[in-house]
Amino acid sequence: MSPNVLVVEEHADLRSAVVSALKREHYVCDGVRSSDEAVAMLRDHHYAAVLLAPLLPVNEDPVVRYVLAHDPAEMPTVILMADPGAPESAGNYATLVKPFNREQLIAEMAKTH
Amino acid sequence: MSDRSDLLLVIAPIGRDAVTICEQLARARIRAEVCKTVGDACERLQDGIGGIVITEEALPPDAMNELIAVLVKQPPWSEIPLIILSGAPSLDMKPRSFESLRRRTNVTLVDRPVRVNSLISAVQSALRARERQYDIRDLMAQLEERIHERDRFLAVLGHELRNPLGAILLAAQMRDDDERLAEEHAQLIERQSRHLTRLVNDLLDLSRVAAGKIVLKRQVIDLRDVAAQSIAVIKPMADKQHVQLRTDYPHHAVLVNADPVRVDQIVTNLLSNAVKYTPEGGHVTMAIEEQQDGAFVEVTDDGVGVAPERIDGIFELFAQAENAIGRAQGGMGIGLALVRNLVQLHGGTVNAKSDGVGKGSEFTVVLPLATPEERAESPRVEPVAPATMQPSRRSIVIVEDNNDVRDLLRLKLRRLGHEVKDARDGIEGLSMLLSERPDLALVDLGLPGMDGFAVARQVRQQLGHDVVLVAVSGFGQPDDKRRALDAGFDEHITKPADVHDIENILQRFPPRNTAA
Repeated sequence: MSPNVLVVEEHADLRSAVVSALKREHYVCDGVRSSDEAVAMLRDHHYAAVLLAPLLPVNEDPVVRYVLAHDPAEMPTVILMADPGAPESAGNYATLVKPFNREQLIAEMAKTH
Repeated sequence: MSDRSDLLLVIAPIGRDAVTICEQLARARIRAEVCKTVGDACERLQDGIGGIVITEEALPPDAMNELIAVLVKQPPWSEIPLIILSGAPSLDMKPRSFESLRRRTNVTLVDRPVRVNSLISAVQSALRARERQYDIRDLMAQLEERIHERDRFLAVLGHELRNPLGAILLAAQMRDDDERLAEEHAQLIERQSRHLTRLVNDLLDLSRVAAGKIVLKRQVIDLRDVAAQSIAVIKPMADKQHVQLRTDYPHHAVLVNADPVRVDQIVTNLLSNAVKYTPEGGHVTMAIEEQQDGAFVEVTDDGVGVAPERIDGIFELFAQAENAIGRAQGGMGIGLALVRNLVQLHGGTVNAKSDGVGKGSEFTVVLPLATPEERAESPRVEPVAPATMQPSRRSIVIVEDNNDVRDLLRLKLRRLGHEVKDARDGIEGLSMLLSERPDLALVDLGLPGMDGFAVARQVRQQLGHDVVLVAVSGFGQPDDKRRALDAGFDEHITKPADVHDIENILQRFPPRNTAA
C-alpha cells in the first residue's frame, strides 16, 4: 500500500504542485496550508511522512512539536521544504531546498519507506 | 549619528596653565575642560571628544605610550586632533620628537610662548578636521546600513522567487505519457510566471520612481473604469483563493486627471495585496467615492491584518522585508512601496489602517479630482477593451535567438490560426522578412549577427511601411521604447511577450488587404 503523505505549504500553487507530483508517484497525499491545520490532520490520520515548509524556527513549529511529543514509532518522518539558509536551523531533519524538482522530491520520499 | 562632540580636553599640569587656556578658548566660544592627566583624558576618549590640547611636560614617555595605546584602538575614521604646546617653560628642555604620535593621529605643534590668536586658530582648524571625521563616520554608517538593507532585500527577494519557481518547476515536469501538460498545470505555470513578471516589473518601476524617471501621461479618466479593469485582473486570483470581491461605486463618473496605466497599477497592487492576505472565505471590498477633497479609493479586507507596530512602516520596502522571510505569500513590500510612490507622483496620499493581527486592513488612496479646466481640455478617454475578437489569420515572422521563446511564441500564434515562420538571428531574419513580406514581424532587439534596430531600418528602407514591426525586448524603459520607434518599429513589447499583447496589436493593425 502506498504511504500516506501530508504536505504543509502556505503557497497554494507550490502545495498543489507537490501534491500532484506525489500523487503521480502513487502516494496518497493531503495538502494543508498551515502547521495548525497539519496538527489537526495528524490527530485524525496516520501519515508515513510530513513534508513541511515551516514558517517558524523548526523547533517552534507546531508539527515538529507534536511529532516530538509523541511515540516516534507512531509518528511520521518529517522532511522540511525550505530556503537554502534554513538547514542551519533544521537540526537532523532531511531538507528539500526550494526550488526542488520532481526527481529530488521523489528521491527524498523514497528514503522514508 | 548625533554624537559629534566638539569638547576639547586641556592637559597642562603646571600652575594655572590649563585653567587659563580654557578661559581663553571659552572667549572664542570653544568648549574646553581641564583634564589632570593623560590617563584621565584616555578614559574620556570613550565618550567622544573634539580634540586634546596638551603641554609637552604632560607627555613624559610613559604617558605618551599610554596615549598611543588608546589612539591605536580608535576606529579607522578617527584621528583625534592633538595640539601640543611645545618648547619652554624651562630653557634646558631638549627638543622632542613626537613622530610616534604623528603616525597615529593628527598632531599640531604650537611653540611657546603661545600667542592666544595662534592657539585659537590651531584649535579651530583641529575642530574643523574633527567635524570632517564625524561626517565620514556618519557617511560610513549610512553606507553600512545601505549594504545591510541590500543584503536583507536580496535574501527576501531570493525567498520570494523560490516558491513560484518551485511550483513552476514541478508543474512543468507533470507531462503525461504523450508529453502533454494538463490544463491545471499549464494554468499554474502561467499564473506563477505572471506573478514573477509582475514582481520584476514592480521592482524596475520602483527603481525608476526612485531615479525620478517615471513621467506621468495624464488624461482625464473615470476611476470606476480603471477599477473595473483591475478587478478583472485580480478576479481569477481571488476565485482561486475563494475570496469574494465586492465593489461599491457611485452611479456618476469619478474623474481624475491621472495616468491610467499607473492608476491601474496602484489599484491592482492594493487589490492583489488584499487578496493575498485574506484567507479562504474572506472578503475584499473596493469602494470609490468622490468627496470635496478628492477621489477616494478604499480597499478593505477581513484578512490577516497588520500588527500595530508594523502599520507605520507598511509602505517601506525594507520594513516589510524584515517580516517577509518565512511567509510563503511573500510580502517584500514592493507593491505597497510602489503604490505610495505612484500615488505621491499624482499629488495624492495613501494610508493604511488595521485594528491588529487577524482583524483585516483598510487602504485608502486619495487622488486630486480633475479640475473643471482639465475636464474641458481633456475629453475622457474610454478604456481600451481587451481583445475579444478573434483576429483574422495573418502571416507572422518571429526573429528571436532564444530557442524556447521562439518555439513557444510560434506554437501559441499557430494555435491562434496564424501562419508563422521564424528565424534565429538578424541576418536570417532580415532575409526572411524581405522575401516573405509578412503582415507582422516580432523582432528581438538583441540578436546575433545584426541587431533588431538594424533589421528594422533595413526593412523600412526596402519595404516601407508594408510590414507591422514589433520590437520584443527585455528592456522596457521609455528610452528603450523610443529607440525602437526611432529605428522604425511600430510597437514595442517588453519580454516576456504576452500573446494577448500581440493579439491586441494585430487588432489595431488591420490586414493589408482590408486596410483603407
